[in-house]
Amino acid sequence: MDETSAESRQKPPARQKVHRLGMVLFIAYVAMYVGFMGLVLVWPSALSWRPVAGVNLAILCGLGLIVAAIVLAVVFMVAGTTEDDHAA
Amino acid sequence: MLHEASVTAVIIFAAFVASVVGFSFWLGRRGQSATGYYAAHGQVPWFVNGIAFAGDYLSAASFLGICGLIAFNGYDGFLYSIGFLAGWIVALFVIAEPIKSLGKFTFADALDARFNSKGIKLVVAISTLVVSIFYLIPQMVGAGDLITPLLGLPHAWGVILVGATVTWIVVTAGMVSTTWVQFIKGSLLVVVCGVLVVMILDRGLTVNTENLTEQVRTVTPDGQVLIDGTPQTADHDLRPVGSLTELPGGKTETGPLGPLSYLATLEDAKVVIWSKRVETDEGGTHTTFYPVERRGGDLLVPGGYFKDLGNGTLAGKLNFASLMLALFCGTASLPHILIRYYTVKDKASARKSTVVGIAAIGGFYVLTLYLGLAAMTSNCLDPTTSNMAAPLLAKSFNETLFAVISAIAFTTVLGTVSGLIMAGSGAVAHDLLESVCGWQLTDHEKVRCGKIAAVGLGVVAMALGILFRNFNVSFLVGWAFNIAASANLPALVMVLFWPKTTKQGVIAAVSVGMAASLGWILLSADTFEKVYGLSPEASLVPFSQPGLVTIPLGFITLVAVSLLTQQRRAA
Repeated sequence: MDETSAESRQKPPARQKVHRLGMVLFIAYVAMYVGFMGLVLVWPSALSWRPVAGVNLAILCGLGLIVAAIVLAVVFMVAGTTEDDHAA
Repeated sequence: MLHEASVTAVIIFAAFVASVVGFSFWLGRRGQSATGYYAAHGQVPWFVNGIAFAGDYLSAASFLGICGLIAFNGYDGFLYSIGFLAGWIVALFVIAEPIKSLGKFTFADALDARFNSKGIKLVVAISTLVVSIFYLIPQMVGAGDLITPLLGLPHAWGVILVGATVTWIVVTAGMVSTTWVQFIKGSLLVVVCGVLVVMILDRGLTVNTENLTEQVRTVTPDGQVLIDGTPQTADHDLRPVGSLTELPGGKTETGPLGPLSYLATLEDAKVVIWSKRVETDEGGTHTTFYPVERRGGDLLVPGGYFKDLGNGTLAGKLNFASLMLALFCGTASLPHILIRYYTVKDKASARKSTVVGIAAIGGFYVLTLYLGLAAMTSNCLDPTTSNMAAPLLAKSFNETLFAVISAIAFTTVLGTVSGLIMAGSGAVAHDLLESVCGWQLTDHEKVRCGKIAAVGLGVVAMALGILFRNFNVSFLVGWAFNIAASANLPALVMVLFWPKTTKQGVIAAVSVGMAASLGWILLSADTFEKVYGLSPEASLVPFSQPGLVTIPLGFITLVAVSLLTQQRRAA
């Protein structure tokens, strides 16, 4: 095995924690994305329901996915910075 | 529609574009070493790089294409926005840090970091060129569409103008200048579109029931254009379309609305959208544009553009799922996006700039919903093209805003095309000539080869932009995402996370993913109909978007070939 891979296998605990956090956030977003696209694919009429302020579920979910991406990205940036990150 | 140039618009447009390009040259006046030319010395501040990500990514497809799709088809254009943004989650959580650690100039550097293989460099360089060229086509088509109404010039002139300007930018100052063009463009795009949305909400919604009769555009066998049977002139032309025929409570106008009440009011309104049918006889080709009144609520749910959602055909559903998979997987596989990770100094900067990029891009995609819906209802659309919805919406306010929005759209194309040409020129000079062909290039020669490659790519982009002029730009970008996701993502993910990956596995995965997705697109119903002019029923694949088949195929190929070549790897 080469140096790069060896290095990646021996991540310090702080890096491993960040990596795990990244994977958890990634899986959470994938679940939301797949859930929404599944609904669009098989039951789009359900998205015409208007639960908030007269705005339908299709628009609320779409805006929600965009906002969720921004929120998860900020969480990852704040919670995932370690000293090792500043090595080029 | 015929469009006459306005002197004010031309002056504002020219001044705007000249300022952006001049400013970027001034900011990027250093950068003639190879590291400077290809990676901006790795010293771009993370915030600037983040906005430059947005400037690089928010292409003609995002601005012109999505607004047009929403304006003509309703909610489905917004699904592109959602898919485009979701792809950044893969980039942030999976790709950003490893790619920063492994590469130097190009995407091939990262894939080849473990192997030092000429084969990997070769296939990845070819894949970079194919993806970049497919991504260049819609940008150039968008440029041509923009220039026609603004300057009154033919479509081809717009394509040539963008091609020449971008090639000049890239050849003169490389990645430093490209970064600043993208930074300025990204900032302006988000801010000015934000202002336009505030103006849309302030104007509210207004009923307009005039001119709802059919319009017929005929192109005679000798090339003459007739409107409703009479030669087309500036005074006798197609009428702009897209309007409201009824508001809730019998009102004729709403006055200013909030962001949610705008959407809620539209749900209860009646909207006229325009469809078309094409007939050909001995008198020529007749395109009839006819109005269709729809309930607003029906246009704000999925199904206007993707007709097979819900109770449609299985092939149609698979086509949609395939597109959404490609959008999700494609972003983190686009070479012109990945090379931007080499322009910052460390992993922390790579991550922070991705977060800034996601915030800017996400904010912009929220704005596209309002821009598209406002264009749908403001009686401003050109029925012959969906790509001009956003600039024509601006024109419905005033000529100055039209000129500013068109100039920003033009710089949008400049920013993205310059990134694509940078990625392509790096693939030719750094990967093909130096690594594969074994040319021993000095720093200066490497830069010169990159510049020559940039000129070649610029010429190819111009030719293709003229050839594909009748396509919606978002649709074309969907193809680029499919090829990028199929060819690049399997190899990238497995190199980063699967220790048993071999160089033969990487070469096979990139080759198979690229050939399969490209072949699928060339044999698809859309290509048969819109490129070859053949019957779509004659196509040889069951649906048009290949990603659902070709992305897993790339992973399977890599795993199978890697397992079969483990012994050689150990030896």
